[in-house]
Amino acid sequence: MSSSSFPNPVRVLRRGERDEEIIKALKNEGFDINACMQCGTCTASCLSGRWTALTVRKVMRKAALGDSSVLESSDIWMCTTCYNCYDRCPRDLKVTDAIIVLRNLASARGFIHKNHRKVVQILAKTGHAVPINDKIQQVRKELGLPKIPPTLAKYPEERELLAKTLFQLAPEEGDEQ
Amino acid sequence: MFVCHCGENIAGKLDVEEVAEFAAGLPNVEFSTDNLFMCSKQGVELLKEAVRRHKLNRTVVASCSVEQHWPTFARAVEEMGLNPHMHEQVNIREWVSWVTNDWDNATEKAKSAVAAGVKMAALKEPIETQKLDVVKKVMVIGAGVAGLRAAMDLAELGIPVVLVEKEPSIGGHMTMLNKTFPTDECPMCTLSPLLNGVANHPDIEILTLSEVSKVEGSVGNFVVEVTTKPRYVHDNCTSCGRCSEVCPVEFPNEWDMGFGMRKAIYKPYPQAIPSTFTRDKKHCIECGLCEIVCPVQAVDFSMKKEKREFNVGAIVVATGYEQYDPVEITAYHYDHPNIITQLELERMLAPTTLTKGKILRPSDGKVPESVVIIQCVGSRNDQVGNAYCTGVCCMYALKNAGIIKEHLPNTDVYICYIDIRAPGLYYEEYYKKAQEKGIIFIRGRPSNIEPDPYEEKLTVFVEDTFTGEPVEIEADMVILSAGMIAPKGFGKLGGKLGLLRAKEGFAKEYHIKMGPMRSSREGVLLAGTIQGPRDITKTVAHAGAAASAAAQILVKGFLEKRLDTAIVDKDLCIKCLACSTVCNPGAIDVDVDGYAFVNDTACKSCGTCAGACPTGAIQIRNFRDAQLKEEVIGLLEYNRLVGAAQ
Amino acid sequence: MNTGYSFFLGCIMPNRYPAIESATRFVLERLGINVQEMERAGCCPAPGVFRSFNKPDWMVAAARNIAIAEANGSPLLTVCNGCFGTLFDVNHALKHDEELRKKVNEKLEKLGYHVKADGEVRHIAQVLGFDIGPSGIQQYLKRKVKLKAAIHYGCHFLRPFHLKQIDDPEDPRILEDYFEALGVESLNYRGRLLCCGAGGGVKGAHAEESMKMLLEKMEGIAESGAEAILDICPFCHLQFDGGQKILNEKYGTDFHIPVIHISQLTAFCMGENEIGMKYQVIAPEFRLEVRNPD
Ligand SMILES: Cc1cc2nc3c(=O)[nH]c(=O)nc-3n(C[C@H](O)[C@H](O)[C@H](O)COP(=O)(O)OP(=O)(O)OC[C@H]3O[C@@H](n4cnc5c(N)ncnc54)[C@H](O)[C@@H]3O)c2cc1C
Ligand code: SF4
Ligand code: SF4
Repeated sequence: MSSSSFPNPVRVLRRGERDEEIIKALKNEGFDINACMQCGTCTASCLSGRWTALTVRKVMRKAALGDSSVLESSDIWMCTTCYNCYDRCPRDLKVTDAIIVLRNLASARGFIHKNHRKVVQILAKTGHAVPINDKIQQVRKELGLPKIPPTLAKYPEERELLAKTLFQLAPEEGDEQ
Repeated sequence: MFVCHCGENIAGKLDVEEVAEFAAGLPNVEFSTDNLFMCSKQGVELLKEAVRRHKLNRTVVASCSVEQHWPTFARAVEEMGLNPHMHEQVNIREWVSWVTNDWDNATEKAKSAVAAGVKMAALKEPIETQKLDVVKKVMVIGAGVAGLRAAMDLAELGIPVVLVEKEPSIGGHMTMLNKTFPTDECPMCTLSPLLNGVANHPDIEILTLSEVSKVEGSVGNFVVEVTTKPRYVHDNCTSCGRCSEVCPVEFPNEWDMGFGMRKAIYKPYPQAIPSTFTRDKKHCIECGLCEIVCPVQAVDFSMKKEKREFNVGAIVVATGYEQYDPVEITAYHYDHPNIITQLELERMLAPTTLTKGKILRPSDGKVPESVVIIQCVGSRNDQVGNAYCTGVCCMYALKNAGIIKEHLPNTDVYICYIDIRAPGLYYEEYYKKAQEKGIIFIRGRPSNIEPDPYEEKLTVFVEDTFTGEPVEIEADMVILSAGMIAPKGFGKLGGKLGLLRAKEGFAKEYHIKMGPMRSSREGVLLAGTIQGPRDITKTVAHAGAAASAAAQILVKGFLEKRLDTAIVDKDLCIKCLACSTVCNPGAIDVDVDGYAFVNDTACKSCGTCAGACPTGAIQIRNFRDAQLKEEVIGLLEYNRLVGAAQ
Repeated sequence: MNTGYSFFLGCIMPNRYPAIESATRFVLERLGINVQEMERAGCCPAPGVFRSFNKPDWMVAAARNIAIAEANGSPLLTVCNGCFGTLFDVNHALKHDEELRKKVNEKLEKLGYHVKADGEVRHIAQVLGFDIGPSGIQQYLKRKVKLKAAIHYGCHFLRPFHLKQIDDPEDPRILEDYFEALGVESLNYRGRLLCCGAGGGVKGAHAEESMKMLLEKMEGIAESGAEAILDICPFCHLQFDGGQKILNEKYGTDFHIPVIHISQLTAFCMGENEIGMKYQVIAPEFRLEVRNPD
């Protein structure tokens, strides 16, 4: 960064300022997103992009350049994983999976929405992402089903083991907004 | 011994001086040196001078491949009075320096290759050449603009041509086009002098409805069998068209891509050559009306399939291309009537078709208010296995967008593209002109086209990548710029001709820079789009090059064949003829005593026979077991030497 | 015929729409398909959220569920696109990548399980729409419905296509053909193949955006005059059912279109009267109309 009090308004591409971890993480998963030709098929396929700031093509571009702002913005979390772009990309890039790689990296750096943190806590506590409640137990009974399904909901020790082993989230690093 | 630096190509990766010094110490080596460019005039002179001064009887150059510069040095030793085969080439570039980054190992590897080469050189035998008569006649397969151009160029050189076309008429795709970029000329007008010239040339025999069914022989002397389907109309047809008038069967004309109709007895289009009508047996109901009305009794239902054999010295393959079928990209819903291809549009624009040349929405005949053209359909698309850019579609899209604008100035015309590719003289200018016509360019590849559930409308979903916004374009018609692909049936013909094909399906050229009109097989040339997509300008130039390459083989009247062919040692031959069963070109005959006997003319020096022979009786000159063994010994000795030293 | 299935419940079906569960059990019983419980199974876990946080852990948790079905010795059956997305894709990846299988098993063994990935993961819509099929189902039907409906495929049932290979995701017919066999008149509508907007963790963290996507979807459905939305996924179900109410409150729309899962409609046509419409948020009063035999 320049030491002048006027920050350069233009993004400077300089050796060593690319976030190599992004590039490496994508490469490890087998994505050569440098092959993206910026055709926009992905953006045009994207329902979310019609309503949100997500422009898939730009995400691919920023990721290819190792621009870490892509991890900090909420854009990558707007993808509904519908796989339309993935199935249509003419360069056969696994676009949706690339977004998942970016999300994993963002999560590892602590950029996780507070609601998402909550879902992980609920899973740890109940074994389900959407847990049972009293009302539904009643409905289940009326429908002739066991009040509690024979799932992890019934097995607290196993639930705990699972919670201890999986999905240890990184500490908050500035919540993804 | 001469070790070449090849500039930095070799000397940048290994120690050439050390290699030359090493060679100097090898048995039989009189003289050894290194040189910056052995293929330069100075390099060649150096070699000749060394032969003279040291009375050398064999030379070895360690440089590039046999393909590349063996002929250069062989010519030099020949000039010095030696048999050219006294020169041995050792490849330390492709085999060593180009494939390594390890200086020491590369130097060692080069030394071992040189050691082997020197051993081999000592055993090399002189090879004579033989003059072979060639048949001064060429077969051109496919009569599109490429085939026509090649046929004409050859015939004008006085070389007779047999032109084989599978369709009832000649001309290929160019006759289907409405205009041609970059001048917007009428293609029939520009093509018809050539068409008529070919049709009337005394040295060109045209066979329509014909395909190659068998190929034998080799360069200079091929025997090709051609099968001709019956036309059911004799050549005395005056093209009056009465048969067609009375024929009760009518259906979509293939040549018009379904935008026009034809009868079961027909001519694809008015100017078709030959002008003789054709009866299409598949659709004919055999009512016999045409036979009755024909004033010259040309119609003849009893005509049969015919086979003919031709003796030719060279073959030009000009079987063209096919349009990519967009059904595969299901997101584009090509089965919808208002989504058509560019080739279909070219036909719609012809005055003889159903719309009489007007641009109308196929589903209901409405004048479209909004037309969207989509680029790269089936090109630049790894999903469908065509990674290449067709390189023509951008130009014809600009052309057709402009034509739509001229016909319908109030219609919005969009081109959705990834990149506009218009390189070369007049082409970028053509792009600019199209921009000035008010065509709306959207840089983005549409993801999908959705037919409206309630109206005759289509929605094209695309990102305007310049603004970064997703947009929807409402369209009455969508035109797909479908790429050019290799003709689907080409595999069969390619197999008969023994041609290698690129993974995309086109015929593989001999060398992309130095021999784009040559195929993988000697004597078989490639003309036009069968070697890869290109426009008419490039097709014509390519076809001319193919014609001249074919002529090159034939004009002298003979070929010089190097007799580094197979040879049989009768003392060892046990007459099992295993060699003859494996020989692909069929070069092995049996002599009067029952021994195998090699026909030098047909032998391709492939060596398969040598592998099959149980006694080692059949050998390839200069690739004899004894010679190869010595070469391998050279290699092993060197490596053992190094192994012992370490 | 298949000997039975390990019935994977997931989260939303048992814990929000238990009527889909009872309907599915009813349908399978009528079809004579044996149901094995998947004792101790948990969340699939959801592909949008958990995979996004930590893909390797997501795989392990999914493999655990797959291992439970493997121990049962029967193919895994799900009624949810999300569960299908996770379990099918993970099973496929493990089946074709030995290295990955080894890595996943290392962690899985700490949980007391081992996965072989030699079995199958199937969606109820495949079983009904493909295995049994539109003509095969006829013999099991007691009645057909008179219903104009908008069919919603959802995402992970058909995509990624190279993995699923069920039907052309750009113009599928499998559900239309099946539902039409139950008497339904399927409507073509704007955005027929659009996503419902819930997946990918969007509904959880960005409810507002998720609702906007649903709004687009709902407008297309409403425009078609559909009397019901037919789906094959409890998560889409939740989005449509609860979502319409939210849209009406937030955007002043007036959507009131009942949402019916493939299992519910099939159960009804097989003679089950209680398919739980009364427990749903939108149109609890809705009753299916029976088509008179023609
Ligand atoms: C929509 C569209 C618009 C175009 N517009 C232009 C333009 O404006 N300007 C321009 O320069 N270029 C244009 N082109 C490109 C142009 O069509 C080609 O460059 C040109 O026609 C290629 O000629 P060809 O002889 O190689 O192939 P073709 O025209 O395909 O000829 C091949 C011939 O071989 C025959 N054949 C095939 N297989 C066999 C066989 N096994 N045995 C015997 N015969 C066989 C075929 O029947 C055909 O007659 C356009 C292309 C398209 C698709
Ligand atoms: S569709 Fe593929 S190639 Fe095109 S912009 Fe998106 S990721 Fe890049
Ligand atoms: S020429 Fe243009 S339209 Fe055709 S493939 Fe190349 S870039 Fe695409």
